[in-house]
Amino acid sequence: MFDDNQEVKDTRIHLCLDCGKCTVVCPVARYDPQFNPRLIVQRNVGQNGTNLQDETIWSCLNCYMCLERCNYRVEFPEFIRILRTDAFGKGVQMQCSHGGALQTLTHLMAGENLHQKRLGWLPPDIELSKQSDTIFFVGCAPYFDILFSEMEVNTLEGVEGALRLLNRAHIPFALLSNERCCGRDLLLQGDKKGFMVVAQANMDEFTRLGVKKIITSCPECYYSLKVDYPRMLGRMVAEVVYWTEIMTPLLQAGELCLGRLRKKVTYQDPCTLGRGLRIFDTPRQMLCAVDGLEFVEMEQCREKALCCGASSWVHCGATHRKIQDERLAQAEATGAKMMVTSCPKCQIHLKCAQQSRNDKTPKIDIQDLASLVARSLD
Amino acid sequence: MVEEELRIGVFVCDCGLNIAGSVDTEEVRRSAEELPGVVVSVRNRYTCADPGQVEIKRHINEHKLNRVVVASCTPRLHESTFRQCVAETGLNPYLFEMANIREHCSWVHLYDRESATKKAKDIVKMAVARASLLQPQQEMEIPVTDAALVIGGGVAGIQTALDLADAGHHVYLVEEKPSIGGIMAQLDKTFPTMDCSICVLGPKMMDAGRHPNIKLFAYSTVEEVSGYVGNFKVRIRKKARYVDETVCNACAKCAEVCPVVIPDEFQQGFSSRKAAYMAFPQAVPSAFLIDMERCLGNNPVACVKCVDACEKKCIDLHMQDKIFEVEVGTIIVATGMDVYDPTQLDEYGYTRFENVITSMEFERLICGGGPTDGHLVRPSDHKAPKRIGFVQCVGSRTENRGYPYCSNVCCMNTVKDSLLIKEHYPDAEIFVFYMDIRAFGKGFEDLLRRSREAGVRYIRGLPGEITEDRATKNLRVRVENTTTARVEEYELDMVVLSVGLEPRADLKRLIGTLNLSQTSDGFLMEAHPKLKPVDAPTPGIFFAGCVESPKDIKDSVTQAGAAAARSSIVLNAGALKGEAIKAVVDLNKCNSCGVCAKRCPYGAIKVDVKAKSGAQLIAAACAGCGTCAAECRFDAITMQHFADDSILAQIDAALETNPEQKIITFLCNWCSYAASDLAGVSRLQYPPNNRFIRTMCSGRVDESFILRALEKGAPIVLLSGCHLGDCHYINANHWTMRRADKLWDKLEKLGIRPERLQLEWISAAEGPRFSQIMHQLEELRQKVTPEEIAHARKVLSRRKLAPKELEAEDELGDTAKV
Repeated sequence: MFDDNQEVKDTRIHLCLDCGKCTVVCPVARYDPQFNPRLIVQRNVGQNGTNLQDETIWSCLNCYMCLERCNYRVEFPEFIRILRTDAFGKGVQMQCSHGGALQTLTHLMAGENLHQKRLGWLPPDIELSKQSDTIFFVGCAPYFDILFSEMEVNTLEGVEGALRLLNRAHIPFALLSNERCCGRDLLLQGDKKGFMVVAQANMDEFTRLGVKKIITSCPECYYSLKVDYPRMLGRMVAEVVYWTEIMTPLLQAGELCLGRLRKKVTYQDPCTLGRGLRIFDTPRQMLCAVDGLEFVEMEQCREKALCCGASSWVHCGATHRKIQDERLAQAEATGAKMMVTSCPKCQIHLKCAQQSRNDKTPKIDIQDLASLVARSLD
Repeated sequence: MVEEELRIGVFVCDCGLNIAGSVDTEEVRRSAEELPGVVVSVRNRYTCADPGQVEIKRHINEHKLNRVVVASCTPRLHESTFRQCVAETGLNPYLFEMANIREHCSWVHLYDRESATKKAKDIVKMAVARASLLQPQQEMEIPVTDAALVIGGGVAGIQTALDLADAGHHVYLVEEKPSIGGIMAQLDKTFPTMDCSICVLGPKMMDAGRHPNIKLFAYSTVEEVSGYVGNFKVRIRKKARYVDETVCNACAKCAEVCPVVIPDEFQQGFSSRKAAYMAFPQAVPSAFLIDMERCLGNNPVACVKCVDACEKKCIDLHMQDKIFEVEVGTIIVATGMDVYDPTQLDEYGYTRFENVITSMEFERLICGGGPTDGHLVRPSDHKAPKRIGFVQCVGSRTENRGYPYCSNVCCMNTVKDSLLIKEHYPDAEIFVFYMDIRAFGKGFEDLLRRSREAGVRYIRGLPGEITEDRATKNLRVRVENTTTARVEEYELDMVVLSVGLEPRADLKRLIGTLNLSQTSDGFLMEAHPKLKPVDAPTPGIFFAGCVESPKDIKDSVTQAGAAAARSSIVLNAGALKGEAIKAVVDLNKCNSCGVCAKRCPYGAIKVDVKAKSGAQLIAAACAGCGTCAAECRFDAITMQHFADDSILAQIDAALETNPEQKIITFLCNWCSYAASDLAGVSRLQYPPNNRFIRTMCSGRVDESFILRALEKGAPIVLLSGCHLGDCHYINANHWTMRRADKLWDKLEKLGIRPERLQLEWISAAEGPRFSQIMHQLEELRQKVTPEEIAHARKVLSRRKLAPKELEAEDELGDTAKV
């Protein structure tokens, strides 16, 4: 039975006391009365599997706000993932955003005998150490810029910035020429089979090349490699580190110096990095280490940060737009000229929201953390 | 030594289906018949019940039994019952042994009848082997001091003191605050009767203050306690009040002139007091005091305004603390609880939003003796609130900041508060946001009904966030009304957070002083949650009130009466029979090395190393831990009822057949054995390969026991006891740990893998962990090879022939008492 399933039990969903705090703090529930996390639990627990009539399971943003406030820290996002996997397996069609382009992209990368030309974007000044057993996992940044070019998304600049900073800090790394999408979005959407294919392919590459350490700047890739890979594949061959966590000890030890930039900035905590993996401080430390940068917090920051309004390329609609508008309003209220984020997806979704806003509203500049910090070096 | 022929009777209990349901008790009975010394083996349905006991007595007489083994439940439950039964036939009760085939066998191996039966047979075999070597013992009588110490002067402490005093016993009542009364003195009304709290408590406080049998030590703390049941020695420190309380007439002139103004903690900080103050008008003792931390100073004296103003000239700024040493027979702990501070729950805005207050703060605002003379006003503008919300379960029933348990009183407290508000402001709109309303007691449901009839709205759902309107200071509460599944927003003038109760922050110090234990919720642990709810595991110490768990006034007072009654049993006895588990020194073997004296946690052994006159043991002070016996290198100390041979016999009996299948585990009576019982009661299943050997303390376990087990082919030995710092015998387990360390070195030198000796500290509350450890041990056992076992057997049996090494006396620099 669905409920006897150990995976469901591990989410502690049966401990739900029905208090309703999750519904109050959930950003989706705030703008969409049809979405009610507590009722999703009620409707889907003990039902012999997912209630396939329940379409609201696709609207969850996986932002972990419910888990943060829940008395028993019930893993509601994981429960949603299990429901989606069950539904997907039974043939339920979800609404992919952007015409399913991102899903298609990942599926393309699942093929065997794949010959990719992934490193064409690499600027000549970035040094690679081909022998190193440390790699930098790039993620889908090169593709985002192309897909979302009309929004002036510059996620690739973020990757380049991170690489330059790693060079400056004398941390050696290689890049995978046959890297594939980490697969996180497929897993969250319920396509566990699809995830397993790309994940296994990546894992085979890591094993083949003797990779011992993986650095990444994308919070989603980080979560995927660090948490999902060992959990789903049963093992992980390498240590996975988020780039700011390696950089800040060097900053504090004085071994790395950043430059100067005079700007008033605020920081968007990505849900996966913040509430998901409890990394709040090191990105802030990086920002504060740039001379001249004035840092202000938004009203909802750190554990209470508001989601950028979209997740895993499914079901994006009016509700999500409202969440994004709220977040942009909060950023603007700080008086900062720039909102810095360390997640490519936050950047994409918030820029997308900015585009559809009325031209009269001031546009806050949205920048990637790595690209901003790297700019200070020049 | 046993002269006459052994005649052992074995009584196997079905315990209804509790044992017979998973163990073939008939097979166990039959196999017991074949054991050496057994003359009769009988099966019973309920051995502890009257018919069962009658049958035991009948068999003792008929078959002239001189040893009795009952194979049933845990000795921690019925050992004394059966000992009594045996004693009634004239047989010495210490010739009785229990085999635990329920908590240790039938309940934890529910689905493997074959293995459970095999294990039960082994357990009985071990018990019979031990019984064969038991000797008759005489219990010594200890005189009892007819006096009691009550620590804590809240309603529970006051009631206990009054009950004991009325029963004719002397009572020392120690309260750390300047006045007795506790939390109840701070409440306005009590549920369900809506009595005025201080009006009900006041007379009791007065009685306690002037009862001829009660000596009240207010503004005092218990610094040190030594001794044992019937004979506790207590050191009390009476803090300097700087006012002679016997002379002070509470005229309040000192307070009038005192220049120092401080927030008044009794009024929850809503109003102020002076450094010269009286805790509250009804305080007992009815005297002022000087808060020397806040006074402008007495060394040198900075200001003498109070001294000058005092008519009675009873202020002495150079008063000193006084130490009192008293002797008591029993101690009752009634130190109460603390209230949860919800500041860390940022979503509720406590301390950031003025009009969000706690339920304790509410009590003071609405109380006639409070900072606003009972006019309920809200903090920001002192206006009467028209819309008030109560948030329940703040800090309770959560693993996310707060405590996982339910705090018992908050539901009814809010129901009561809602009615109080309606009394003041009949038109007020009141909302209670809850998960469950627990109205379980007498009159509770009635009060809840009154509250509903008065129009109080009960909304099922807990607020996810509270925000403040900067202009009006009103609060916006967002909550999902789970009954309608809609998120609702309420604009309220005031929000009361119904905070939970928590164990006192300084409980650890008390625990150290009295050698107590905590349950997993942090409150104090009772000897048995159902059958001994007010006894501490340590004999002679009792609990009353919230120190044991959150409860309301009625239950506190009930417990207080119970604690007084239990205490009276000890005090009335005049003399107590101590259990006959004492150390005995054989002066012929004693070398006067002095090690035992250094090891004894109770200082019960005195050795004059120079005079070489032998170790002198004070039997009354001996608690029976067995550490001296285990540490003595000359085999000069025997533990009554837990002699070496009786333990070695159990090891031999367990490992006689298929030793490689069996793990020998030493359990200490107070902690790990209790944990194993809890695992049994909880029906937590684990592999049947363990054979348990009970000692009173892990300190009893001699190195030779462990080596014997390995020599006889045990693959793994587990040594277990109380957590360091929690040892029932103060710090005996510290020596156990040292012994284990040395043994690991020794094993390594002998080529035996040290992991084959495992050491675990398990508390009585850790049933699930015990079961986990059993699983882990079985995994370890499966990795031990036959070659390893054979090697150990060979090496250890050869070693016995070599003379015993005498190691140099180690430096005892690390013997700081844990």
